[in-house]
Amino acid sequence: MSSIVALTQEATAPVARRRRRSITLIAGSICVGLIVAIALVSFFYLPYSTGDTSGGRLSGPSLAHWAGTDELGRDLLTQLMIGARIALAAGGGSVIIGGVLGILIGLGTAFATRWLDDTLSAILDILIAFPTLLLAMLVIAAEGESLVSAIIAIGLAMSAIVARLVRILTKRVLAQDYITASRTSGTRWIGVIGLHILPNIWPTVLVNLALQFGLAVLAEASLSYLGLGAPPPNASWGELLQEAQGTVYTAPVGAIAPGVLLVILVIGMNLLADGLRDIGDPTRRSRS
Amino acid sequence: MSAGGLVVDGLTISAGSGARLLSDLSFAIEPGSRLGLIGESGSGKSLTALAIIGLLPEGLTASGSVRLASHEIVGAPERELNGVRGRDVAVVFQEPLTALDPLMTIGRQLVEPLRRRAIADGEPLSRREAALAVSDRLAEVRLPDPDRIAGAYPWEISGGQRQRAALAIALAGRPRLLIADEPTTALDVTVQSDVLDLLDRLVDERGMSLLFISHDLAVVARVAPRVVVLERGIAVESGELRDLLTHPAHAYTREFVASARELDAALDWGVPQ
Amino acid sequence: MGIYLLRRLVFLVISLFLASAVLFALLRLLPGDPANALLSVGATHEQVLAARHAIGSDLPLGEQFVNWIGQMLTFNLGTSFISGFPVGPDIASRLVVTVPLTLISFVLAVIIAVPVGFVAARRANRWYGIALSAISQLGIAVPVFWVGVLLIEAFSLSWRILPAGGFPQDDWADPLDALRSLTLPVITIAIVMSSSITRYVRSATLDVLSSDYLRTARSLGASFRGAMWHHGIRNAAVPVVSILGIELATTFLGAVVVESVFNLPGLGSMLLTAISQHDYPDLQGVLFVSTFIVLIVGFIADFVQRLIDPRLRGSVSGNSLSARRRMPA
Repeated sequence: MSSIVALTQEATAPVARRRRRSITLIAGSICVGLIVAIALVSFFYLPYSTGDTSGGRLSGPSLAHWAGTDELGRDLLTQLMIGARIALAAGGGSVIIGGVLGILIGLGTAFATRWLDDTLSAILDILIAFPTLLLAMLVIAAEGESLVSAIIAIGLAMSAIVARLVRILTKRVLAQDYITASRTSGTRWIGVIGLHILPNIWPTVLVNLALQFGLAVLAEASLSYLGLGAPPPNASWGELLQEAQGTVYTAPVGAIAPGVLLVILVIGMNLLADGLRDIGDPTRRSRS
Repeated sequence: MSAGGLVVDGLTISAGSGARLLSDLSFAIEPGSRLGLIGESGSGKSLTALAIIGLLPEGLTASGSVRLASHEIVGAPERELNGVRGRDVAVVFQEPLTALDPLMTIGRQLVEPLRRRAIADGEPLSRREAALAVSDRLAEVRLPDPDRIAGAYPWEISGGQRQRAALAIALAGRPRLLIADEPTTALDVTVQSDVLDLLDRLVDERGMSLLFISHDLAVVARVAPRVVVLERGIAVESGELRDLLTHPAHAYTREFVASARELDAALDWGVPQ
Repeated sequence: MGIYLLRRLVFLVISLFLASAVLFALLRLLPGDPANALLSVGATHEQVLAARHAIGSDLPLGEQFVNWIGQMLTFNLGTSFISGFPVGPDIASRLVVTVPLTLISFVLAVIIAVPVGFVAARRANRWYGIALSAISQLGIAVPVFWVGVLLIEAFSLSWRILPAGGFPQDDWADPLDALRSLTLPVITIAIVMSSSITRYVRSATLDVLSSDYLRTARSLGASFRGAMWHHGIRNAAVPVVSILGIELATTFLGAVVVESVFNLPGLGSMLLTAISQHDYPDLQGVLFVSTFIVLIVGFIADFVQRLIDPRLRGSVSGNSLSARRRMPA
């Protein structure tokens, strides 16, 4: 990017840009925080038990049932709260699996000999081409429908993407002169990784993982919608949307609330990712 | 002021927030003469160059007056400015790798301003003529094997060759005034000298005026006898470079000269007569 | 370029081979006996053995794989356990729905995204530029099936303009009828995909707008429009084209999900049925064809990318560091 533009931007409105950056972070945190709060509360208090079908079918919001009830008379608010747990678990679990695996594999291929590296990265490219959703469906077909299967599947698919990113970043760092300097002064490879590589790559990787979180949540929702997710009563928001499909007009809350909550969570994580990206590299123009 | 002359009067560049990046700058360049603009990064010298050609980045506004030949630049409509740029004035920028389109060969990028000038002169170029002209211009900037360079992409040639090509492209429209914004800063020291010599010679041969912008006193000393010193957007001193080196009047100039003197090169190269 | 093309083709073939191997392995790892699909409850041991023999699952894995590859090469994708119909033609009839759905959605998404992304970048400081950017943020956060459900509610059930689902029995015999069925699904997918592509277009345009080479062109007398036309478009296209391949693959996946929302007899519904019924030939066939399509799209995208960007030529993988070194960091 032109240095003049960079200088100009630094001079023109440094305060405004910082404000825009922090708006992104604040908005993102609020969104994600809201969902996390709902999930946390759900562990301590649920309006009704999950099997309670006493509410009367498809009733609208009322004092007894803040979000109304579903087709079987179960309280919607309860299901929405449980759904928050599942969405966060799906996102978080996938990101942890994908992140850890991806970093390990990525580091490994970056250090591997040329031939091994080429082969592995070719395999990685193929795995990435293999659509996440299909991969997840395969695993679910194998292991049966459960949240854990979905998380593992999505996490595996994510690890390929993270691995490729880590590989490229690591190679870039390894090509720097200060690595050679560090090695010459006696630092062992483990030290190099810990001292130089990881600190350099983790901001970018973190931003990438934040974005993948949102994608994982959406992927799990899609799987649940298709009936391949965790079976009720631990229903995810995707499942709720599936059930409420026919009753958008008669009981709109059921068909709208889960979707809205999904959007809030995913947008929140995307905003956080954008905010983190700007923090990691303040010379970059904000892209959100 | 006739072609090649530049009169800057009270040029001020302000940002949207009200901050002034350049305050009340005034200087004049007679046709055929040279001026150096010296300062650290952030002093506003590069912005001056952009203001003179009316290409300030969005968010910045210029006030005051910039008269180039018979055109008033500040506040002029885009159409008029398009006619002035490349024809009456051209700029050579600091980093040729980013200043040139990475997806186009050097030849194609050189042809653009050549054609524009030819059309403006009323004599459009045929394809053969254009190809010949490209070859000629590249040879003018002392590029060996001009045909190979013409067919090469910017990243396929060396830094020095790139900057020479960029120079050829800037001069393609036969401008009367050349603004050189840190043209050698991004080059290896060994190559800097050659490019400076080339610049010096070309400007001389064509009787062009030159505005040379740099933070490097030694480099400016080789091409421009008169200078203006900028400190954070304000011209603190101006005059003959020789005088400034021996008797700097302003404190900032003193500091600047002092830190330059610490480099033996500044002493070795001397000052133009 | 010719040699390079050949190398990429070889790479593609190897990728297909590897992908089918991976598929094969994964499917064989599934718990449960594939032969179960052919049997009813309480089958005798002999019946089980007979069933296994019938589908060839009693052969050693290596042999099964070779057989399968052989079948693939002759375009014989096997026969469904459940329906008894050959898998190949079944898939073909599904592709007739899924491929147009994917392509039309994709083209529509690109048509929307390019101007929107451009305006969002050019007017990034005006309210409508910011608004466009915010809308695209929303568009990528929204589950595609939810959009479908809401659209059905609005256009089919409330306003009764468009069909809520299904596809004409005679496929494309009446093109208009078929297109009517695809309208809402296409809009659904396009909303999400265009949001994603818009963000890339915006980002690429922002880069071009602040680039040094654009400034050089203008400093030489080019008008803004002229400079953007000669230099801007191609440079902006480079990063956008590089992700179009992935976006097309994602569109394909979106189509698979959306088919469920709109009850379209495409590849998606075949996949879902195959999963629930453990119909291995069907499953294998669909997954293989899907992967095949995605890999080919990737190959074409890679090729187009190299056509546009001379910096990528001469390196096998677009990710190679040598190519990156030619670009200023």
